[in-house]
Amino acid sequence: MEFVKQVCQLTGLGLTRSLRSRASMTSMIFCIGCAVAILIVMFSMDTGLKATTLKNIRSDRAFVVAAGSRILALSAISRDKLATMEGARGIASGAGPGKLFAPIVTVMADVERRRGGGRIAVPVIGVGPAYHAVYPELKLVRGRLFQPGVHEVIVGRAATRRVVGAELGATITLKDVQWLVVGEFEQNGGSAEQAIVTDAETLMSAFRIRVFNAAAMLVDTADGGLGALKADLQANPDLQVNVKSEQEVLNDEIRSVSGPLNFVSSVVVTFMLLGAALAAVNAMFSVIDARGREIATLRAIGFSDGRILIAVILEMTVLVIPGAVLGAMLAFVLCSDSNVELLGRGIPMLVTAPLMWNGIFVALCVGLLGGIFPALRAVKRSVADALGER
Amino acid sequence: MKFIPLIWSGIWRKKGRTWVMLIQLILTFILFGLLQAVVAGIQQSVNRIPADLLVVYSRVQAGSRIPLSLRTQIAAIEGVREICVQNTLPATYQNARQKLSVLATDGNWISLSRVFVAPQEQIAALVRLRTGALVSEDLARKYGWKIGQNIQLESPILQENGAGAWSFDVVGMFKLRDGESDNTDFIVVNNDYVDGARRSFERGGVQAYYISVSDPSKAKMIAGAVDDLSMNSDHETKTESMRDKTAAQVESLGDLNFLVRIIVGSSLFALFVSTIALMAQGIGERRSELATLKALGFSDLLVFWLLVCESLAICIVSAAVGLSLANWMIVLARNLMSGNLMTANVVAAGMALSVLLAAAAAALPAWRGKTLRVAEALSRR
Repeated sequence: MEFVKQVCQLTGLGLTRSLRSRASMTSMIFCIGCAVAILIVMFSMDTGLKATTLKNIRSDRAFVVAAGSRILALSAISRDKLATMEGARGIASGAGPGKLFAPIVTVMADVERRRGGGRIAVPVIGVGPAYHAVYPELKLVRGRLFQPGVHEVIVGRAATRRVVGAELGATITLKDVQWLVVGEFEQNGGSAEQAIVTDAETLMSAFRIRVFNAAAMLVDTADGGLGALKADLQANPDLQVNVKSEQEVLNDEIRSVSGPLNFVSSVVVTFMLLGAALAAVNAMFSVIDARGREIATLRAIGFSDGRILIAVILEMTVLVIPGAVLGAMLAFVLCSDSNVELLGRGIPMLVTAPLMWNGIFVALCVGLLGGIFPALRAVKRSVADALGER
Repeated sequence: MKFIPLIWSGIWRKKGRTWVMLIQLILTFILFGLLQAVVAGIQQSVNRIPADLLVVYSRVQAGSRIPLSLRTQIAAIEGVREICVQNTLPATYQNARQKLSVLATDGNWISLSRVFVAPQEQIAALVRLRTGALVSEDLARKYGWKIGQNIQLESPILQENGAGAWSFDVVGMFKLRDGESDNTDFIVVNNDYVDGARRSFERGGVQAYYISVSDPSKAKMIAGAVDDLSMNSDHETKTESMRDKTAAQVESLGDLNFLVRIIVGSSLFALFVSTIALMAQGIGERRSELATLKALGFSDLLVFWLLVCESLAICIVSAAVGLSLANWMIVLARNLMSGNLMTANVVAAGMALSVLLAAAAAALPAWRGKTLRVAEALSRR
């Protein structure tokens, strides 16, 4: 108890001293702040990607993709194959006559970007009539649904903000054809909000595409569920397709983007943190050096080396906090409500509380580990030397 | 010149601090070098593509093939200078792990692409010998292939007799025009031979045509004329300038440039602040020394320049070390990226930044050193 009290007192004493050294404190705050901000900004892309993609996941939703295709965009299934599949066991029936089975075709359209100009690629999803029953969480917030056969689209909320001419009532040019925006939809903040949705047949004739990418469906657990569906379709050698749960499909989609993204983020963040740690250690060194006599006096009147060592390490950890908190706040402000265009898709940047805590926690670790060096220096000098110094 | 020892001793006055500062600066310049090199490399890959090169591929579905019969029609279009076909076959050599690609094309592919070079007589030999192959120097080195050697490759694209074994005779080698090895892992063979030997129902198609035009300003018109040939058929084509196509792919990388700027900017800013703090502190501690110099007859301006030179020396040395370390890392990561990434521009920008950083960081503290009053500084304890 006595030990804890003394260490606390020592730390408090040190803090009042080091706060006077303005140059060192400014440099500590800026370096740690920048590193924490970059850490949070970089990983906010991965967080945003995962959160929006997995937002509306359902265990009873499944996809058929061409065998061997890992991501939907690279899969191709012909119209007649899809027609045979619709009758398979395990697919749920809807309120209407047909099954809950929606062929999907996705194209990337070159459109004008709203923020900062330039052109970006936006996914345009062509869907079969059952799509809205397969994706019940997709809700029109304004306007109406598109009609098949005419060039009409509905636009996700995020896409409206990204793309010029994607607001309700406007026309947008996709592949030299004018499309009327008749509705705007939400998906609880899910990834479909980044897309433009229209009727599959209309889209395919406008883009001159002859095959679908995949089909989305709801499975009927009473009728054997996913297992029966898999057995039915994958066993048929003419089809050459795989049946995957939504979880599997989305994991593959995420991995294709998240892998390279996280690799780059890790490299960048490692360098930034190392640099910030060095700057902080350097600042701490000068703070400790300036207090040489004071520390020597403390040791001369009987404070043990161990206590002073721990007190200095604690002091540095505390000094890291303002920079870390400012950095986290800066990242939060920078990223709030923003999208980056990367690897051909809009990636929302999402700063969550756990991500901010992680950033601050990493900074605390930097302070704790970095504090060891100045602390050792403080207790290594001989008391007589330090006291004799002017 | 005679001040170098003085500057040197100024730099190493506090060894620990100087080392930490050096490492910190070096880390920043590694980061700068890596990120800028990637951005520059992407831009370079676009600029390397000649402006008169067009590519023709299927509009219907990515990867589906277009008829070989279009070739003579395209070649007849006015303004088309040269044309060659492209079919790529995946293949392996000796075992399934040694993968390479077989590019089935025409003899003029090397000259048309302009990215690679090969001796004229070897290209002529490829045209003469139906089963001939030009192999990349990288592959020749890897597998010890010699000119005149017969090589057996295994491919999932089968021949008419059902065999997947393809035999080619090495007639020459090609390499990148820029001279640097690039892990080029394909061989160039005659499409006539491959198309004639593969299963009959697979014959007569190509993945793409490459054409060069005599006047790049008419490229759009010629592209339209090529696409008109197959309009409303079941094999409609899409013709694009090769450079535009790559530029569009680069554009789809999007905000990469923006992110790089944020990262480099904020790390340089943090470094700037911490360098100023360190320098200011150093000069604060050296007040009496600087005052002694002045008392000995050093002019105010000379003291200012001595201090600026100290920070310049530290920054320039660490920029040089950081950039060369970044270059070394890029060479190690050659498998991931290709091309000569650490361009003169990146190095020049890095060095210029280091000078700017040194000047900006040193100016204020050095100014304080310059305006120091001798009597005051010496009397203060």
